[in-house]
Amino acid sequence: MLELKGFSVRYRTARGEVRALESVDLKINEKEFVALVGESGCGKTTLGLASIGLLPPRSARIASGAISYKGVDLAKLSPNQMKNYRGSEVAMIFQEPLTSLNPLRRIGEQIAEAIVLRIQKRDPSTPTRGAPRVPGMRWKLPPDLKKEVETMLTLVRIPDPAHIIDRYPFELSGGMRQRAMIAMALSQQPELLVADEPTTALDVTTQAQVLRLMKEIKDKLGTTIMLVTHDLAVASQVADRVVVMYAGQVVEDADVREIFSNPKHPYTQGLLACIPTGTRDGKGLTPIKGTIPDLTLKRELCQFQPRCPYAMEICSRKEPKLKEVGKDHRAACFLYGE
Amino acid sequence: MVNEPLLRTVDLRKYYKSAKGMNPLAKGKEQVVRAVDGVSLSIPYGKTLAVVGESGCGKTTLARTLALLTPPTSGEIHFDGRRIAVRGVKDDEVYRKLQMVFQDPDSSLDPRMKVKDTIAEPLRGLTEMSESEVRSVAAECLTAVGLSSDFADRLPRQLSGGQKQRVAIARAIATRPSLLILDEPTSALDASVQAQILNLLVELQRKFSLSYMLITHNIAVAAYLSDLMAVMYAGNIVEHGPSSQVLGKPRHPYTIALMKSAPRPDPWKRTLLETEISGEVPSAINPPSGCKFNPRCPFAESICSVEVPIMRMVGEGHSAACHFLQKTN
Repeated sequence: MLELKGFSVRYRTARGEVRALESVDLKINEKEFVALVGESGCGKTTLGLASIGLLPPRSARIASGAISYKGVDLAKLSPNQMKNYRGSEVAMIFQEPLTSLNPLRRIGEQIAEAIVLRIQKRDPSTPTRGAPRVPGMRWKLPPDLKKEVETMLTLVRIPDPAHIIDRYPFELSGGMRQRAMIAMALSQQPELLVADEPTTALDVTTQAQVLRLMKEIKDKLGTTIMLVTHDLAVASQVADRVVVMYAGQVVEDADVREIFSNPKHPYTQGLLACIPTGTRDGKGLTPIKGTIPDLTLKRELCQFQPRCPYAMEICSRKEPKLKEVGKDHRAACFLYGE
Repeated sequence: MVNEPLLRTVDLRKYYKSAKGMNPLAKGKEQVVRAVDGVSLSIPYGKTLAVVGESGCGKTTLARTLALLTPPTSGEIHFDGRRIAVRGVKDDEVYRKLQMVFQDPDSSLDPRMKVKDTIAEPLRGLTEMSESEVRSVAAECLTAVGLSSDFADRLPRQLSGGQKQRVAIARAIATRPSLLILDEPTSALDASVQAQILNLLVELQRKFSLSYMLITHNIAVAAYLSDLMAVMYAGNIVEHGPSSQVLGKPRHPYTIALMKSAPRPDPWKRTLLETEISGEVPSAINPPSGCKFNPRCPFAESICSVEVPIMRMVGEGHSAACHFLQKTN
């Protein structure tokens, strides 16, 4: 469905060009729930933004490779085609719903807009409708539109949707806002939903509800989901496949159970060893030593080599490529041959 | 008394008045936020008590009240054998022995202060040490948290997130406290850095026989560091006991929901997808009557919205506040 081939993204910064993504090869299949996992600065958000064509145009540059959706290169889309692609094919939900919802417009109005846009895309002659915005006038949605908005809100399990339609984002709790965001994204009926840390700002019980909802959407509507998260535990609970990223590269890619039972890349192994399990009276945690590399530098080596417990001579000379290390299991490490 | 714990609270309350005069749009009466609503707990010498709960449950207010950063509305705090937080009594001694580490080192460290001065600040303010003593103690603390002396002259912006949190910990241990209050010490950090800080906290606890009060929403971190665990919901402690028991056999319906919702790194046991809890933490201004958890509780009956449940023993040192503990047995 979504395919990245040798995809590299650079950001222009005061310190020089940052290699945010470096020759990423990745395929997202239809009806899959994929989790992109990695620590801050590993490029997972850049990948999410690239897949919906939202890379910041001034500072970001695609240095090489391509990202294509159903065989169509996203870089070659005209602004109009891009607008169509966003929403009807792919939608995104962001970490902090308060900054991605319009604070001055009611929840119902914002979702209605998405619904009207969807209808217009299929039939351009549809007039733009919505609530009349005349100062002092009572706010009201056309009844059929209102009903559709209510259906969307019910779908994301918002209690009392008729009441929520009239609320402004600031009047809702974090969990409710995130659900409204999901409703808005879904009301365009996208085939691919990109969620960038959708639950990081939420409490654990609310997080569980939102994740459960995403899983339900995938199962019921067949939506493909790409979940960007820093939390391997979250990924383990919902994803079918886990893609581990480090320093702008995919270092491992496998089925979720395979990643947890048989991690191949030393970084993945390190991340798993960092998760506290048991108590402090046990053998203690094994943190990954060192820090993430400076992404402004040119590199001809394995990015993880300075922190790797198994680093070999070759690791500082060559960059490992992703290769098959098992059934549907890829890793980029010289431990598994050149 | 032999069994007197290091810190003990009796029916501690902290209410905030929502400022009526500040907001011209606020109508009606002044409202009271019951952030901490009657908390009794104790922390034994050399042990770790983890207080777990979600945002808005009052855990940070509890921490700030215990650290004497804000006076309690009512209730007692006993620390190291004497009552503290009494109006009109100067508590410099308490500040020395009870230090706090905050969640976000970016806002808890002075951006213009060098690392060595940050660590020396509590020594200069709270002790009578000479300047040379202050400097040598600060250097010791820097070493104790695993930073080399090269860091002494740096500013916070020259440090990584993990290093900043190490400096914050060094500052907290400078006055040789007996209790450290850790308010979400690792939630702003990446997984690999979190592991480093957790190891450091364990090491320091053993080295300096520290007691910890750990405030966190991360059950895995709480399980890892703590001996005792208190689960907070809407200003109250709903379950309390040895961590192994609270985690192994949670009895309060909220604790059960919280444990299931906490993501565990196990794709074979997807407890997170099984949870049935709905709704969110109630407002502390107008909490539900009776048991505050009743609107979200799968076991709730009519009594739950009328009568506040009391803490009842369910095991050795393990208690929970629920009317229907038999249902969770």
